[in-house]
Amino acid sequence: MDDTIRRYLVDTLLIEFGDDGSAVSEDANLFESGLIDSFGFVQLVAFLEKTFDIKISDEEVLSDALSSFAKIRSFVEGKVAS
Amino acid sequence: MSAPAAGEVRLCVRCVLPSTFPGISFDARGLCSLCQDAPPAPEFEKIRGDLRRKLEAVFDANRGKAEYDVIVAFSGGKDSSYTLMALTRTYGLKCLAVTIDNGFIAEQAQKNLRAVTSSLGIDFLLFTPAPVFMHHLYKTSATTPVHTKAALTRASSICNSCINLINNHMVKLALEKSVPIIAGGYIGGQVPKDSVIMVMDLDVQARFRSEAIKRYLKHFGPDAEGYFGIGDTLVARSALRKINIVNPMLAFGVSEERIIEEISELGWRKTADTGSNSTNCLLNDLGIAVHYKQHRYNPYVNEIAEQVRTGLMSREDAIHKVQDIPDFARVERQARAIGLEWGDV
Ligand SMILES: [Zn+2]
Repeated sequence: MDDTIRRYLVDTLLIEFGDDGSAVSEDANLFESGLIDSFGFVQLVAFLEKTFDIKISDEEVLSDALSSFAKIRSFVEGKVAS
Repeated sequence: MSAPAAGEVRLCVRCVLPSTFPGISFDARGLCSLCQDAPPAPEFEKIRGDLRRKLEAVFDANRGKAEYDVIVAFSGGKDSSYTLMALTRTYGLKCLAVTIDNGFIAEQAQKNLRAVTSSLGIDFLLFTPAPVFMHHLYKTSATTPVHTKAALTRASSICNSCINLINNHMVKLALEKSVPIIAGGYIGGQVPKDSVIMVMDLDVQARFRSEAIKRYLKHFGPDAEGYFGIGDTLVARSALRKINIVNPMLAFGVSEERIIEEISELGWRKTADTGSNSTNCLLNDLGIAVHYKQHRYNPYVNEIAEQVRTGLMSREDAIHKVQDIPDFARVERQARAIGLEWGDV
């Protein structure tokens, strides 16, 4: 799961995660940093729903639950487990 | 032409995406990662048929609810002209055609705006943002990273800035007039795959807009608020909570030849001065030249590759289009108009 989400963020939304200074950390807020725009967000939500067969509500979309890689991962883990 | 020498850049054997395209990889057969997951071209007709039915459902659910059924972002180019024609004639929707005059609409394209809307017998609105702002917007877009990397795979930075301004204007108009649908003339590859129908939640958008506005204010100055903001009072006053954003061309699946053949009947004529990837904008080639200098791939390649992959363009035509990268001499006049020096790019 970690790998599937990471691959999507890297290959489709073109976010570069890593440890060096110029790369993005797993806890970085992807919206505030301008790494995901509204198109990207709509794509991300559709990808997560389809890939993990989950439903993401309007409230969840509006919350901070999907604002960083780390948060996306734990959000999806919680959804899949429930 | 200053296309890369053969052998320097590898092209997908099916769709022409180059090895310089971000996020792409090739398999042993020479297929790019997007083609590896894609069904064969003929199967796309079935996919498009399903999408057309979904579109029809959105149209049926929203027809006759407001002064206009749909606001069409109308550039006067071939794709938005076709979109306007199809929505008016095939789907019987009451359309309001809205054009943003960015100061670079080719003369023939200006005639096309009038010809198409008057032939279809529909209302037409023209909005001209202040040239001083637009020039600053374009120059800054050419020299500063303003957009996400993903957005830049679909259009040049100059185009992205313009598209965002246009989209924002359409949303404002939709709110003012309570129009439930906004249609764009975007084709496959210019927008994400799933964007035939997108339901835009105004609260979700508000969040992205406030982040985007902060960046736009920094890059484009205080006037950016007016062009990229919506204003809480307008949102609060409007009856709309959600707007349907549709891109019908993704579902229509018509080739460039057929589009031009059909819209010719409305009096639409091809421009001679807008390069091989635009049929309305004189600035387009500058956007391509700048993008190629910065990223080493044609910003239209994603769109062109998608047309090939889905069976709407031949690979041969695609290669010809993709390799037509304007050199600086061809775009010098436009660069000068926005105060851009090639060395700043
Ligand atoms: Zn390919």
